[in-house]
Amino acid sequence: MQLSLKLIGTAVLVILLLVAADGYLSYKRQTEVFSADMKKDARLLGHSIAGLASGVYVTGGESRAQRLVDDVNRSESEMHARWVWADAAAGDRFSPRVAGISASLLDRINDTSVVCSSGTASGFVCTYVPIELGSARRAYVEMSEPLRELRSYTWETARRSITLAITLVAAGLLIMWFVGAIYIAHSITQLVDKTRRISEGDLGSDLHLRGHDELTDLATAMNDMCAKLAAAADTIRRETERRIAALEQLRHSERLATLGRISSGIAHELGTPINVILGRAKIVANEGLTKDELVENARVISSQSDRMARIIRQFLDFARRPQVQRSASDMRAVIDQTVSLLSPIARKSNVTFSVLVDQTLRVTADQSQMQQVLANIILNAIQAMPQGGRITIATQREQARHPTKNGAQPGEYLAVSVADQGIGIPGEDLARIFEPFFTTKETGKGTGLGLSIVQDIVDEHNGWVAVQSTAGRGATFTLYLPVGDNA
Amino acid sequence: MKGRVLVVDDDTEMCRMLEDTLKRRGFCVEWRLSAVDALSLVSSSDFDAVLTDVNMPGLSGIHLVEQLKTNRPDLPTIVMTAFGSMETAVSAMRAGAYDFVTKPIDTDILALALERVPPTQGRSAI
Repeated sequence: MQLSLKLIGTAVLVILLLVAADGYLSYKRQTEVFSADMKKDARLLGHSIAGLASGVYVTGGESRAQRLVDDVNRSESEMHARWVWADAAAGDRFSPRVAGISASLLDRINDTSVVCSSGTASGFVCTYVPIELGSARRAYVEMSEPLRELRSYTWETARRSITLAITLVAAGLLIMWFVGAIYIAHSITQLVDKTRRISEGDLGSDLHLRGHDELTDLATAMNDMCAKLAAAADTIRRETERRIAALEQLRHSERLATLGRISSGIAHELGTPINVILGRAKIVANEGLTKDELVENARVISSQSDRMARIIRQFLDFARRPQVQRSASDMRAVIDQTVSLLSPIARKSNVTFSVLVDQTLRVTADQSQMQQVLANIILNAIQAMPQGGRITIATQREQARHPTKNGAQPGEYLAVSVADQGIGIPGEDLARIFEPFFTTKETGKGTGLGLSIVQDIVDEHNGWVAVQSTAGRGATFTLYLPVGDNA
Repeated sequence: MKGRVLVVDDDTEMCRMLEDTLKRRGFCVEWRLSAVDALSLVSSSDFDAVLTDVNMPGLSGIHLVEQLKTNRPDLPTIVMTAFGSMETAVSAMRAGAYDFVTKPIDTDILALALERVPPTQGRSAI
């Protein structure tokens, strides 16, 4: 149930209880007053009649006294006077209207009033006043008055109370509906809506409630909070942008450093087609060739030019600063491109590749970043084998659990391993190789950022890098990248 | 016919280009893509000179020169080195190379270098 309805319901209930209690007390009080008045009037009149009747009884006898009492009833008053004998049998015309009222009770008191609810006296209030007869026989003036007027009066009182209650409840409902449902509920709805928008990232200070109360204070506090949050978020965003820009710059610098490391191999790789083209050009220029020979030389020059263009394109593709863009990427293509790019420098170091990948491997990744990751690891592997050797690149799908994320569920990962036959990594260095600027290479031969950036990039792809090595027996770096639903 | 030359380079097109060039200048040319294959051929065939690249997978050009110096000291070798890599040229000469030419290859200079090699045992100068 909504808060405003609860408030209205509670208030209406309280009003009803108050009005009912007031009505009941008022009804009771007025009934008592009215009843007391009736009895008081009856006693006063009864004593007057009894006095007169007593005198007439002494001077004129019983009959005249009884006639006097009857004469009182000629007025239009609701009150009826009767002569009753205390010892009259039930059903006698002089017996008390209140059946069973005891003579002893009547004897003990000067006068008494009885409200009857049953028998022939039902619905009457009967008051008995003794008549002094000067004899042993006891006579009374019975003043009886119907309760009709009292009931009419009390019903009127009750009706007024009920009408008042209904009116108050209706008015209360109307007022509280306006205040509660329209003002409070509207304000609270706006506050809740604003809270929801804040959770969705809307930090505008646009909550304006009418009036001056706790709810508007809350709205003002929320606007202030939003303004501060927006300022903080803006600062964080600017800092994050600066950090990302610095990180991108650092990564690009490392990329260029990698290019520096492979450039001598690239130069050598370009040397061969240049030699072929120059040689073929010279043959064409100096010798008398047949048409077929000319065509063949032109074909070779063309294919060698293509080869150079391909090498340069690979080099430039790696060198350019890419926009980070994750998409469904084929890791096999990334591996092939990287191996192709690094083949010259590998060849120069007498290192061969063994690529054990025979199928398309789809992962959600940034191809350029993945190429940088593989290039860094492979270049390290080449450098780890100064006497040459083999680098084995293999892939397989594995069910694994992220080793550093708390509560990570097992999922499917693509494991890309790069194993060399080099000098390996000493145990004391294994824990530090991913630290920024940690390097065991000579000054100028490594920035110490390569593996740090490898770890950062793979981490950003929700994966991780594992390394296994024994000094003197090579090293294996394995990239774990989430695939399928796990990505 | 100026003599038999064995060209050793890991790139097929380079070998073919050198074959075409040298043939047109009167040399008889055979080529192999690795030093190991070249050593095998030299052990079974006679050549007047070996023209080899330095950077090759497996056995390098320098190692080939060393092997030939041991096995066939009479067989002159000419090494093709990259432009500016004087250290490689010096290493090759120390290993026993007769001469070196730098890349990009000037075919006139290459032909001249081949023509300058001394005659092998029982054979006249090429």
